[in-house]
Amino acid sequence: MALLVVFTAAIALFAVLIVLFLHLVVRKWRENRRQARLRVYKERHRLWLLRYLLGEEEQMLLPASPLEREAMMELLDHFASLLNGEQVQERIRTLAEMHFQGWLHRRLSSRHWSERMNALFLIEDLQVKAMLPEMERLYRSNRVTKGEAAKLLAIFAQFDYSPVVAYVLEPKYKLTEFSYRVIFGHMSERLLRQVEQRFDELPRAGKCAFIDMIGIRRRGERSFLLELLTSDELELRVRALKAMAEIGVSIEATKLDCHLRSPHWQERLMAVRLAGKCREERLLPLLYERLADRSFAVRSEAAASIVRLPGGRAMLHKAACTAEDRYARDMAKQWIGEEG
Amino acid sequence: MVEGGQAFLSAIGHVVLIYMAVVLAFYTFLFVVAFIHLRRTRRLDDWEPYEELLDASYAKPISILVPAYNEEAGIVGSVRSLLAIEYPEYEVIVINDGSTDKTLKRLIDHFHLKPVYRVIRRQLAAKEIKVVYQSPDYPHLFVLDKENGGKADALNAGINAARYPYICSIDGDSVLERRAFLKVMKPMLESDGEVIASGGTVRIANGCRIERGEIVKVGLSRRPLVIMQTIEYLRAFLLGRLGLSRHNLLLIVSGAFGVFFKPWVIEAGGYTDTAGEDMELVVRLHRLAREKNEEKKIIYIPDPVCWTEAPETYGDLRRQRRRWHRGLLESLWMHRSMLFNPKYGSIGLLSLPYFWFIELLGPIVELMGYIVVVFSLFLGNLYVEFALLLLTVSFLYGSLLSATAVLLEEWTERKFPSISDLVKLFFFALTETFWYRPLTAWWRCEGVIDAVRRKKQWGSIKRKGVSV
Repeated sequence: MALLVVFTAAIALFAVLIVLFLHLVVRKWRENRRQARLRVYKERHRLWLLRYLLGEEEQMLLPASPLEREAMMELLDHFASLLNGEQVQERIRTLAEMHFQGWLHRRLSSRHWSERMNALFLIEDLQVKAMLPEMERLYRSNRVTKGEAAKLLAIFAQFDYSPVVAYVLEPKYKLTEFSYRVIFGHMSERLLRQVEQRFDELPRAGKCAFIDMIGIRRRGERSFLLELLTSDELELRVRALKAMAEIGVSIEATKLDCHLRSPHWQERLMAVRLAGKCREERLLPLLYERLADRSFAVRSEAAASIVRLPGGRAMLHKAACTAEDRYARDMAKQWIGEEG
Repeated sequence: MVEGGQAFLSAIGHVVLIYMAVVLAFYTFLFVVAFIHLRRTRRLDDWEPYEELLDASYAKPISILVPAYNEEAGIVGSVRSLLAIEYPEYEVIVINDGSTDKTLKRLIDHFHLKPVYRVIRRQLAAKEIKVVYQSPDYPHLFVLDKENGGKADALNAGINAARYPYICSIDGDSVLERRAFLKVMKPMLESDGEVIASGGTVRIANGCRIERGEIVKVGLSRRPLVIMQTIEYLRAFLLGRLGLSRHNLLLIVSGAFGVFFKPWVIEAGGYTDTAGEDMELVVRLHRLAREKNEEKKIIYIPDPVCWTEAPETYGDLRRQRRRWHRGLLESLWMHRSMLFNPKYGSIGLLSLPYFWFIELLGPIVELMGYIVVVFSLFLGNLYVEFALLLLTVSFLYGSLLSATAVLLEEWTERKFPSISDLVKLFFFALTETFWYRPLTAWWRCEGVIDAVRRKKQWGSIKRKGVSV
């Protein structure tokens, strides 16, 4: 009896698998054929589309079937990442808005998460600003997922869409620091200034990412950063020092001293890095002390900073021979070797 | 006497039967989890989600560690492929673990390595590093020449020398996709430090066309033994790891490809000298996170990002499986106090029991099953029916599950472009129960015996070198 039941189950399962297998083989055959046709279409129209985008061709060929539309979109997407220049990008955008809006609209309202995401990627690549109202609707809807929300905000930032400022201050889902960085990375100066005015309202991850972005984009925000150095929060001070080091904001030795002696190695590390950018000889003795720091990362960074300062190499040569601390000697030796 | 023997046989047969039914149910559950996840992402564009990470200001730098012991055939090719990966900032550290062949000389000649002075921070115990080399042509390539100390020791030396916050260990015989790191690092970066280790799918390189350290065309080997391993990898990665990863129950970040957050690895004590050092480290990371009461995750992405050379002969495959199983037993034994320990949450209550009772005991029970089948067929009468029953369940457990994994792959990833490859994979999967499974079950049992006898060695297989 048991044998019969199990045997029947196995046969049934086997049959189901065979049917699925046949289905997938047929699907693969059709898909391979479709891909081949896509390739042919793309090959045939690539040059012509390129000439159109470069303004050498006025006549636009319209895609006649879904397959042709897909091929055209893939080509456009390819060119959008390849060709710079405002005029070309404008032509790509106009083309996309004219011919693909309906399709994008359908994809954005698809019940498949991956299809909605792909539509968002395409909107981003082709800069289809006309889709903003649709995206706004998606963002406000209940079914929007965390991944989509982050992507939408990044696109809003790229399209210089003002409501994004309010959205990042009070996001629908908790955003990670990484997401904030991507969003701020896309924002125009205008939007960034608006965020800066409401900096205190940002969640912690947002604050950190915002300060990082000042460094990455080398924005001249000296007074804003200097003010952050007085913050009670360690993480904000560390980020501010890091951003200043990246931009190369110079700061007097007396002001940097307390950060160089901080009980937290992360703060000392960033202060040491900043000292290397200040090109001030008065910082050398302070950095020399850090060559024997408890933390390996700080010692290493201190040596790197000393090399950059005037008179630094001579000091490292001296340290390599005479420093009392063995760690300091080793580190100095490595850096002389690397520089030489 | 005979009756007693028959009763014994029947008892064992029933144990095997119940075991297989339970395991089958569990695999079905994992399959459903993997299915739901893959259904969500299967239409997602392959590249777009990662484009952003190419911007150096978002990505965090990685130190790639390549332990090498007598790998003269493939080492230059794999290092070259590593130097061509797409990632904003990384260094490659090859650790020559006292090779007795020309591994070091090949590296020095090919990359024009020069000795440099580098302060190494001894955060983990490891054998002495004799010389550090750097390549003037590729300043981010370093080679450490050290005394022989085994793979774990080599990796620990590499961690000591690593400058960056993320580390990745790669076997000398693997080929990475150019975007492998972008894909594997994405979840780590996006999680703001919540994910401390991330692994990617490993596939078999035999049969693929590889040029200058890159997979140009995915293909299938003609050797049945390699085809079976391809299926086995599909099954293990798609069904097992993806399913476990969804619930943070993952214990293996493959030795062939995984990225770890360095401070955690150091705090956990680095790699230890076992045959399965990768798994053991992952268990310790889970353990550390639970003991520190921190919400940390170890995850796995289904994208195939790493291609590895599979053994092509029975002898090599046997050696590999023995070593793997010995490693599994050693790691589990080392952390036996975590088993069924509620302090370790789902890892202690679910994940470890899974590895003990399914992964470790599996081959032993399977082997017993095969023996019972053979004996029952000899005994005739009533026992033939029982043997058939056992065989049918084994068929479900082995062949049909594997065939399902092949179909799941075709439904989602579709990495094999030709129809004939799909057909071959499917039909070979169906033969699994009748030859490949008994063979590997026996080899894995040998691994258990080895572990009991405590054999230790690097266990290298003959390499042809994957890059041409």
